[in-house]
Amino acid sequence: MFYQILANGLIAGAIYALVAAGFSLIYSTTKFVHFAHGGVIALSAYMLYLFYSLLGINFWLSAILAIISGVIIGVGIDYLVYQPLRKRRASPVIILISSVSVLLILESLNLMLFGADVKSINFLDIGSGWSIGPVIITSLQIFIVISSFVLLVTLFLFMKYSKIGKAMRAVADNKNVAEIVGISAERIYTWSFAIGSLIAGFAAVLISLEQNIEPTMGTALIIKGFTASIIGGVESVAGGVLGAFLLGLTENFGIWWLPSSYKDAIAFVILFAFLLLRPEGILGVKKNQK
Amino acid sequence: MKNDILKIENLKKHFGGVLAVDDCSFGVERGTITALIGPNGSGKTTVFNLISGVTKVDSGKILLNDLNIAHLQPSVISNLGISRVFQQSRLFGNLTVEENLMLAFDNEDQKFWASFLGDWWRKPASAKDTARQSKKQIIDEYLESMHITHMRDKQTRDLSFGQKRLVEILRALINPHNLLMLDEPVAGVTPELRDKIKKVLLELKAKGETILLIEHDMNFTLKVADWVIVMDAGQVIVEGIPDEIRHNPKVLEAYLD
Amino acid sequence: MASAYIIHLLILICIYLILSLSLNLSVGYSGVLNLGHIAFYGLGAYTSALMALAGVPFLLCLLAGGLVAMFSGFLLALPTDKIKGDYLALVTVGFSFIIYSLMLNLDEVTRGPLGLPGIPRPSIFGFGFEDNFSFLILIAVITLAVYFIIQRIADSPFGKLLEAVRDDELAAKILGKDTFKAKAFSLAISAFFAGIAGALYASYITFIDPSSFSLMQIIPIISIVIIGGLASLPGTVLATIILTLIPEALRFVGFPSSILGPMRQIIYALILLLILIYRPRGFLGKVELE
Repeated sequence: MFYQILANGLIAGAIYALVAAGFSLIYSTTKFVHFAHGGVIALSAYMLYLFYSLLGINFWLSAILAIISGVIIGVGIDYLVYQPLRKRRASPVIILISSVSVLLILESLNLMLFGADVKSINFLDIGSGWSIGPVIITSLQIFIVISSFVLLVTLFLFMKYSKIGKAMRAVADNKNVAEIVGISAERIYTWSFAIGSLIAGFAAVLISLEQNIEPTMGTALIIKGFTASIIGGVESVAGGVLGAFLLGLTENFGIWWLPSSYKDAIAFVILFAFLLLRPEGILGVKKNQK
Repeated sequence: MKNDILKIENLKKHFGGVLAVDDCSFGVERGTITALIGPNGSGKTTVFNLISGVTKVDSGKILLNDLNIAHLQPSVISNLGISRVFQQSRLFGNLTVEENLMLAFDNEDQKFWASFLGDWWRKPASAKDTARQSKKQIIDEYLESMHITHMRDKQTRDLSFGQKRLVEILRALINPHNLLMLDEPVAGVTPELRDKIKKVLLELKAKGETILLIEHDMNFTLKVADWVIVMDAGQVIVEGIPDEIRHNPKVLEAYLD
Repeated sequence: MASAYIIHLLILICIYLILSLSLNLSVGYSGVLNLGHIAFYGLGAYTSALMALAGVPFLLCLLAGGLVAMFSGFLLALPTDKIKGDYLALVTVGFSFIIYSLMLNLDEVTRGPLGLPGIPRPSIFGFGFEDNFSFLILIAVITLAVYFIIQRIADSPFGKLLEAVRDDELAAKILGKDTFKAKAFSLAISAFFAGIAGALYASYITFIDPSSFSLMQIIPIISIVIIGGLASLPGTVLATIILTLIPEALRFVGFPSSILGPMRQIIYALILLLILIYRPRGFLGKVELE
């Protein structure tokens, strides 16, 4: 039982980590909460459904097209909404409200274009399970865990060694200093949205293999990704990933004792507790009061 | 033995690894104008923030009339009798000049039910009106004395820099206090306004007010202050009457560093 | 027929008015960016509905709905002393999530997603408000009362204190004000009226389920407050009327109702975005949202 819950927690954590990684990446450079990130994932998932199930395009090509749509949507949101707001020096609170509005627009679009009923992508067979000792995992779940691991490692290497990754970390660390040494913060913001949304598109493909696609999935996912980021420390991608696994494990161990319908409530209580008691997260550094 | 209203003893504050205020001690004598001077970054404004409770004290004592006010909340410290003007304008920008000043008189406005229903069960409504009228009158007199009556109903965010300064000083004056603290009251104002503020400060002293001020303008400081305290690197290096300070080599050295 | 439709619209406008006027008290006057207003609304609706279903007289249900919301408003005010700005907004978002997930998951009490049907219409001292016209008169009287109470608070010295806290909390503290008490009071009162609105909604529709109280429902109300202008009660009234009527126009164009719902959300969200980008003071407001 214990090992099965551990495995379930890790699988849930892997999915949350994909959501949290893109979200934290965007937060770390731009310093505002991009709730609409969940909407980007949801719309990308619908794009996969459109290309693969409706238009009958080859799965791998559909997946690539879905990921590209994710990038276009994410960068488009930044260009159309956040950039004008930044230009008039709107506060993070205003941007927060606007991001919730964008999320609402994306969800309503899904509802309008694809209807309220759930969709599913039947590409990989969910049924066949593997048993590793006492634990049963489906091949799909193994695929998801391995892919997200590969993606997160790639992201880590990109942030550490590539020129753009380094510039992004510089902006995240101190925007003003970064601009003095000649890094254009606006350009890095665009890059953050592109890479963050690329991860979102990737997440959309993996998630829609395992779960149904429904109009409100974006909100459900971003709540989890957001909670994970707050737990781990919203300023860092590593924190978000760590928080994601902690959240996945806590939820799954929590429903060992509580009815399973309380899974979401567990996440919210943790989120609330962290916001109130340790808003900087586990890995975060408390800012010196001035 | 001086008659000190405020005594600072071994005050310390660090931000991260930087010691902003390092074992600082001084006193402010009742009925005088005391000036706190020193080069940029010497810790003057931090001392102000520590006294008014805006920044938490690491260690040391701040005695106001022999009561230690270190570690108290800013609002409590204010109600114990310290009134303060900040370096940047901190007026309530969307409120008018009169409303800004009205808030300073007392804390009656905190009583929600009395404010909402009137407190006819304690005193007749007319008494409250009279109290309000007399407050308005006091405001009018102050505005008159500064020749800014015409600004009474303007939102303060529309005022000029100098006008904001005056209203802030007025608001701190109306706020009941035993000690008035001003952070660079004449920085960036026109020469005429500087003379006006100087006159106001000297009049206040004549009325028995105690004032502690930070000021960069040496000419201004040495003319209005009775006692000058020079800070450098978070410590008091010299204190004395203006004439002594003017010729003290240590002061010159601190500024040249 | 037409008049029944107009009565229905007027009742909806009244419910929105109570919600948005009370939200303007906390957001516009005291500057607490409360995105959890819908949670108060929902608490009021569920409390009063459960009591009404248990046979408690309407006026008591109404009051209890208000008081439960008020109490939770006070709880939500507790962190406002430490947490500011976008983090506080996030705390209120988290609060909204928690209340929503309680409605959804406390099956034994709330019947979860099935909702609570058969809520009795109001009845005061034997006089029933069964038909919509008498209900309209009841809610119009309550709405007027709410307007005058909030206006009186806003014009009182206490209201000026709230505005002072909004403009510069530290400066208010330096004048000796207990700013926490001021914010807690304003949030509690604001929550009380939201609870009242919820109780009225429940007794009007006679059915409630969690979907009416999800986080996204805050968008139309926050749009009303921002479009009408912070700290401007006439602005709020005007914006409520306009925003309730705009989507109704779509109905006459002849869109099917499956498209109408999401389209209405998109319109609200788009208007809010445009206002945030181009006219942050709203139409009748003097205060800029920060």
